[in-house]
Amino acid sequence: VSDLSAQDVFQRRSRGLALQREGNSRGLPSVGVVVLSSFTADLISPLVAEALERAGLYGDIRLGDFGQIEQAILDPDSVLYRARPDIVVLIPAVEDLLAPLFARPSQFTAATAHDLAESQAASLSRAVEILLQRLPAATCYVVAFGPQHLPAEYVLDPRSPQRGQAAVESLLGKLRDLSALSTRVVVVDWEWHTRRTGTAAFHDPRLWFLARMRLNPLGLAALADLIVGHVGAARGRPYKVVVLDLDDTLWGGVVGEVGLHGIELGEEGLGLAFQEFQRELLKLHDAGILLTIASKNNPDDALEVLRDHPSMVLKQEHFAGVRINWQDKATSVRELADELNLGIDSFVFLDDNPVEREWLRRALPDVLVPDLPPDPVDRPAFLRQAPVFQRVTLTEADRTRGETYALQARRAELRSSASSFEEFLASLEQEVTIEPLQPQSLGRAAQMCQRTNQFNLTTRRYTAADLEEMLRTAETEAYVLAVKDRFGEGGITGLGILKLNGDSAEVDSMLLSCRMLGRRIEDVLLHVLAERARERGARYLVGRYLPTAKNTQVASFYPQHGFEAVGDGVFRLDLARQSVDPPPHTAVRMLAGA
Amino acid sequence: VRETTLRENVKRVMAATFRVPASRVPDDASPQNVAGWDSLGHIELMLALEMEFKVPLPTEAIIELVSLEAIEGFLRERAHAATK
Repeated sequence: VSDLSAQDVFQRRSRGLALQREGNSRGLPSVGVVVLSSFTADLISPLVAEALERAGLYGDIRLGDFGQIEQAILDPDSVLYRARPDIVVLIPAVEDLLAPLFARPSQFTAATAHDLAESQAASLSRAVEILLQRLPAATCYVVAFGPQHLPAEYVLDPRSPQRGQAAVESLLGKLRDLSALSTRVVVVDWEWHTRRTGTAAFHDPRLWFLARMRLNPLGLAALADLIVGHVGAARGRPYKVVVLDLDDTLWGGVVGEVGLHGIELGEEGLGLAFQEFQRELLKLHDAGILLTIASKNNPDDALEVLRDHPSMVLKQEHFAGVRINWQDKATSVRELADELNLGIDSFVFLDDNPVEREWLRRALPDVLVPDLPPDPVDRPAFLRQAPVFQRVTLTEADRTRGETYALQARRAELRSSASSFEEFLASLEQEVTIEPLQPQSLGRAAQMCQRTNQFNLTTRRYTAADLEEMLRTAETEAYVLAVKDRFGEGGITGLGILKLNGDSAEVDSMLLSCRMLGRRIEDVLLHVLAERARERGARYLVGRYLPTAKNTQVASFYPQHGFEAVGDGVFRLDLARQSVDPPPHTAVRMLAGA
Repeated sequence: VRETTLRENVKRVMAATFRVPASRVPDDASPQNVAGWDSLGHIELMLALEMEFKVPLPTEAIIELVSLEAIEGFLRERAHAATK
């Protein structure tokens, strides 16, 4: 932001104006935006349009009258409710909310200053709640816009009521608290953001006195960038995976040449910069970004560092996929995408070598390849500030994702080292727990119905309400499964639904998370469904395959398990003569329903 | 020749600021006869002129420069002062 020049801003503004003139000629996803500010911010509109375009969105942007934030929210005929935007940006400046305190600080006590801050925050909070109610699909971005100066800076004691600092800080704190109102409120912390750059370059007193503008075009451009960064993060950034080089990226020097103890990595100097870079990567891992390695190296040399170097922050368990070999890196990245089952457009490639970066950009244009700063000391800050990893908040799934995938990678490793599939199964020590679908697992079961594409025989997209309805009939039985193995315990990863109809029972749905494929977990599920059908007195178990673009891998699932074809995509197993065997070396635990 | 160039350059900046063709900016251009030259448009114009001609504009000048003629006169005087 700080290196944005007036010329850049002018160009952005021109592009933004062109966008507003030409409309959405590129056919980008369109978002409606209304900006309400306590000061003149009209010139921000083309800058927001331009920033949205860089984020892949087309913005239809309108402005409210300045100084009319709450009025515009309360008035049902205001621009807000005429435009019905997807995004509402509120920019209430602290100077405007606390105007009486800024005008005559000496007339306030600590208590009355505090009351003013409190009542202004409460009033804005009520307005935001009304806005959320009246625009049930909109997200509200509230800018925490700090003052340029305190009410009386010549009073030096920060605790002195006449200085006004406590009231300013308390109001800013309460503005930040607005995000607690709803997931549809996102606070844009301009006050904190500008601590790094300072705001001196963003103010122009001429513009304030002549036009009531608290920010000059440079400041408006920086604010537009920050707001749009939050919009991008709130709408779910696609970047999920970081691919890392090793030599001169995770540590200094080439391990193949200088050996385990010759590399630059430690608690001092450049070694510390590499370590700090690893710490930033570990934080990304903890936030649900998957870390992987694509390195040209002798695997033994590189793995020795991961395993044995005392100063390594990142260990093998933090990596969801590893490619250490001499093949070209585009191939490695493609393999990693296959292995993790994630789109290549969710990958970010970090490598100190410009030649490798260029190669990757050409071979895989969908992968994001930023230029890593050449000096290692600049890289920790580069990662901290990289907008591609920003997200508004973290979920439980984000916090455990790295771990889940890393275990998956270790299973794959075990598999490639086992001499037979049977040996692999035996070494996994897996135990499958199957239990009837219950109210507390409805959400997860519905989520799997919505998301599972590959191992899904009928792809029926049931909602939680559908499933709940089904469970009320005695003719339907539904089971969920969870798998535990020597690496750990997963949550629910499979679902089977059985419908009984006279002497036959039909498998209405049968699906398995792609993480569970290749371990014959599906055999356990089919085995249980067949046994349940038998117990309920059915003679035949009927299976159906409904083809989609993504489930061809299960086209011959039923014939492979001894079913005979009795129609187009319909198969039947004679339970009087046949059964489905569970896989070897797999413990099956059947739990009764609650 | 130099005067024409200066006037044309100012007209070009005005045209870009107010999103009109340069041919629609008359020699006696002012807020009265140029669409978009309102109070905010004026601020935009002044910032654009500052950048284009690399002259800082004091607040008083911003208030007074409300015609093409005044702007041209101001810039010519500044250019003259700079060459002295």
